[in-house]
Amino acid sequence: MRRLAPLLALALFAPPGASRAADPLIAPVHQVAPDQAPWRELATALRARGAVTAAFTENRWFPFRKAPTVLHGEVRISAGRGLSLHYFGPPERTVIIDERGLLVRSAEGDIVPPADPRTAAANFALLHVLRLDLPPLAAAFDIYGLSAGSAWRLALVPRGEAMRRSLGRIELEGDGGAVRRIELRRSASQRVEILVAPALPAAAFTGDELRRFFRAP
Amino acid sequence: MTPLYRRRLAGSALLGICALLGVGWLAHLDLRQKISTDILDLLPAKEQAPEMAMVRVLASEAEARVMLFVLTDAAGRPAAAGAARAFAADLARDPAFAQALALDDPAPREALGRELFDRRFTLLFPRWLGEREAAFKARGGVPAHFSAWLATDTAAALTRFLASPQAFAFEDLLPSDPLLLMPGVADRLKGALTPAEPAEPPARAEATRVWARIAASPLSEEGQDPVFAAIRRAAASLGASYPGVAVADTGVNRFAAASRTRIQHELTWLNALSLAAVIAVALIFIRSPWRALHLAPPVLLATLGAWVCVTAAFSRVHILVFVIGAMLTGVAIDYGFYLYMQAPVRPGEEYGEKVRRLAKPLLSSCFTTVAGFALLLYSDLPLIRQLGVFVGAGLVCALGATLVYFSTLRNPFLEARAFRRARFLSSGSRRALRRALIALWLIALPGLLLIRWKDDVRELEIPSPAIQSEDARIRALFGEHDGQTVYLTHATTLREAREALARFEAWLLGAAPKARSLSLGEVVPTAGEHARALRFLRTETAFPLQLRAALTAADFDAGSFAPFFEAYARQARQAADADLDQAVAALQARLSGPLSLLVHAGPPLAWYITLTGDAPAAAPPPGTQTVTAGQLQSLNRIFARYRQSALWLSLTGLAIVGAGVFLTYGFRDGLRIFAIPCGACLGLFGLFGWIGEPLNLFHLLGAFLGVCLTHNYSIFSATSAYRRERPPVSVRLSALTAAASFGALSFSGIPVVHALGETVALMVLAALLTIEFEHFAPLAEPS
Repeated sequence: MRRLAPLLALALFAPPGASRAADPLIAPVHQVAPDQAPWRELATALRARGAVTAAFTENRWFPFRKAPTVLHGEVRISAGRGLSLHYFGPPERTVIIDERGLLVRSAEGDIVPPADPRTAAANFALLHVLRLDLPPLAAAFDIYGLSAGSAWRLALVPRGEAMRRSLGRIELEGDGGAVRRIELRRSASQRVEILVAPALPAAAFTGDELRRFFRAP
Repeated sequence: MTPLYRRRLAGSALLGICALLGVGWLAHLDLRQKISTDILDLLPAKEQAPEMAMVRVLASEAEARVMLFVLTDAAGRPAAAGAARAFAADLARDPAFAQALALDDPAPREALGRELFDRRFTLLFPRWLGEREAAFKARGGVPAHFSAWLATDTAAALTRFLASPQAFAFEDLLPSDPLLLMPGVADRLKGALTPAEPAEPPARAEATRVWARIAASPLSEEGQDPVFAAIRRAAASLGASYPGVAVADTGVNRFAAASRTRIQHELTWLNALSLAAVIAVALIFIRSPWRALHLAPPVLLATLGAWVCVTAAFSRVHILVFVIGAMLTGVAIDYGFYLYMQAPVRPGEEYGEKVRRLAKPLLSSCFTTVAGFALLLYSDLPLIRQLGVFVGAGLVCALGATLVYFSTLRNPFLEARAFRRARFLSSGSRRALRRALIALWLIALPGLLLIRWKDDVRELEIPSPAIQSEDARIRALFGEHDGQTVYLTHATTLREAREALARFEAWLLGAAPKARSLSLGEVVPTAGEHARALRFLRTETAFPLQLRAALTAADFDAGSFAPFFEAYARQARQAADADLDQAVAALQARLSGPLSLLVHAGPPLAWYITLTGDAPAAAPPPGTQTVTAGQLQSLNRIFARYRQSALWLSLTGLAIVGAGVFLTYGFRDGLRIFAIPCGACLGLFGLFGWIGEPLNLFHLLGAFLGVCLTHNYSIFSATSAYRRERPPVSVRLSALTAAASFGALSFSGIPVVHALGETVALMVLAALLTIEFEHFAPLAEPS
């Protein structure tokens, strides 16, 4: 009887198909091998920055709302502990994505959403793409990339139809070893854009930051 | 034809016919059906306490049928998800399983979600409306303005929701659900149930788990061997597609099967050991050992008679009756010893003459013991009643068989061995030892005040550490922990049960405001809530327009919510009172896996289950029609009640025995005779009190039997004492054989059988010592 508890969070949501807007980046000519230059060097540069803290603005577009929902917060990226999005709120909450999945931390406590293959795939992709760790993603995504000087742009398109419908595509823009923009795009009217400000200077996270913004190891 | 020949012929014919009839009776029985290994059969079928009936139903119908599986690959890592689904599919196809599913398979949850979504206006809207009304009242709103306020409040809530992490998961549903009915219920269920981070061990998320429900009761044979065979087949089939995958499982049936095997094993070796011990004692004390084999037929016939009577008297007999019934061997042989070992008073004494001479002590001891066991028939506990019939009938058969069997012997006298130093203690030494024994007894008596009772139904089972450890490991991987309390809210119908659940929820909120709880009450409204929602849909016709306006004002594209407004209008037109029952039935049909345990539609009872963390210590009041469904606690409570009942029966039995002795032998001699059984019983329990051994129902049963046995020894020895004879050797032999057979029981792995064995063995030994120390010497008649 007690085993019911973790199972009752209902994963009810089978989203309809999403259209893929035409984008010059999504073309065979821009398809990249996961370990080719300059992405390999960029990944090395990203990994070299063990701890990144930056302010972000998140714009959420929904098809049934005329204006985006705008949220502000701080993003933290740790080479070992994953990604942490701290929303200033109200209500204040932190979304943590790491090797163990998704965790939502708020004043009410920590909530682990139920295991769901689609959510797990999105988390997996986001976690690796933020490190430009492309080889593990190559199995499930077509990867397209463009770079010009220090600026670069990357798009991940799920190979599976179901994943394309539920997740859409993931886009990243950066400058050198810094990620500037992340977009999860199902359609023009159904997308999330995270604009990342220049990183704050920090060599490593403090113990308090790790405790507050990441999952305990 | 000589009189002896005629007697032998008649006796042999009588015993032969009885034996044939008995064996024929047993042969015609379906012993698999007749003999139960089900622990629940130890409890009364018509228990007065309602929770007991529910526990019985629950135990056999719901949770007890669940089996849990964990799959690992060759390296001990969690197996692939595909392996779990293939394994679950194999199990589900087998008739031994009613259901099986891989827990990481989202399909059942999605099907349930779709059902909830399709019936959201019937199931979710009423509760949502009730909560919004409560919020409106709390703000002091005027009822006439409720729908306008509700529209604005809904648009504001939707705006806030879009900023939450859950918004993406629900964004495709929101055009059909701007009231946030689905996110609301998901949030409530998730908030109540999903453990916080520290309670979420990484191993759980990583385990590959399969949940299954077997088709038959786990306590029956159909719920054991066929199920285990199906698991073996599914695992073998899995090995072909996923080489190296190992399957670990647990379930009530694993415990039940282990207990059954151990009980059957004990039945064999305890009986064998008991018989061997009895024969060994007999051989030591009897001059012609081969002639001691004449003691066996009456014992075998007594056992046969006991089996026949108990199987005829009860539709089902628990196997423990036969395990404990092994004690009959030690008691049944008493009459043989006493009759067979009495020397003729003169050369050529006729058998009939000898029987008449010994009739008084034989009959009085037999019928006093039978009367004592007959008292057990008044118990509420089936096991005690069955024991009463088994031993009582067995003793009557033993006496009858003994009297008839020895009539067929040419020389019905078995001579005892004469030991060279038979009286190695002087009379003075014996008196001194007797006084020391009395002093020890006086010291032991205050220990009666220290007696502790331990009424734990688990003592009926044989501990299986390996299975328990595996069970704990697997259940931990399924996220089970001890901090949750399971409540069961019951009624005759689901509607009534839902009303009771509402009362329970109100009580729980007051008793433990911070308790996290979960039940299908989150998604099933009460009849009152449903009726209120129907009224709102029919009377508040302005609400859809008000909501459109509020959504537009909050920057939403109201046109995008057309699916909602169409569904709302349809519901307002078509909704009826009967929808609720249909929706609950449809929802129940969609519940699979662990969720299916949350509700039961009956008959005879319908119930809802509530899981609560940090539950209050107090029990829910009767008006909530809710009980904690902890089967163990309920059984233990019942067990304690029966122990109290048995204590009362034992004390009454002791009083009856005492009264009989005082009436027969007068106060002075009666006191001396009664001192043996009564003193042995009280002294032993005092000793248990001093050494802190927790006592249970079966110590009482042992004492009951011990009193009957020692009472016999007391009467036989007193009869000899009146004739200025030493205690008869048959008493010594009888007591030693009883001590040997019950001593064998004290080696049992079943705690209660051990309790019974040690109680009887120690009482008998204490009585024998007292008798040997010339306790009855003062009764000697003047020469």
